[in-house]
Amino acid sequence: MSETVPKWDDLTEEEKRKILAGEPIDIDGIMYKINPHEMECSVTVKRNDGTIEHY
Amino acid sequence: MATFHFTDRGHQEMMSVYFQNTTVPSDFLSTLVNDTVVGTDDWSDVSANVQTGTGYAAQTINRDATAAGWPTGPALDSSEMMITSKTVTHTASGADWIATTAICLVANMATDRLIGYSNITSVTLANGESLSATYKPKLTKV
Repeated sequence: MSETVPKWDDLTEEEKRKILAGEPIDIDGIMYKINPHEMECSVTVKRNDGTIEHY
Repeated sequence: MATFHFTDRGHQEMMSVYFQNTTVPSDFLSTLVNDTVVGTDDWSDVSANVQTGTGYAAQTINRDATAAGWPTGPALDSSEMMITSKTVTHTASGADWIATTAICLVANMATDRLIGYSNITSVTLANGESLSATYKPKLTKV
């Protein structure tokens, strides 16, 4: 199948945001997504002064 | 939320266990390292740089669906199938620790395997401080 992969500079700001967030985007009926096999990991650090930091 | 990546070894292990009935890990280990991990790394490439701080120990995550393992899911999270581990906590106890720059999910086997990793902003725990992590592997169905 021949198809034209969209160029980054041609994407809208919303499409770029979705791509960078790992969300799928629909361009001309084709779903695109990067890093399809990623995990998320919630990482927090509790400091001695009670502060919670998120990584 | 830190982005967590499966390693090549992680993909290989999951496929070989499911399709070829190869040896399964007894459980999983949450580990802290001072290293920049890449997707082609296995545990043998990273283990020399594990956290050396006083009181550090890898934290066990059971290979089951109990509260000691992966109690949530697998279930669709938007368009992705996700499973969630228990929350593990690493606590500096006795002295300040060296910097942690990545956290790693290791399959506990005869030869330990690096399943996934997250390179994080360098964090140094002082004595008494703690780092908690909840692992959320995802597979996309798009």
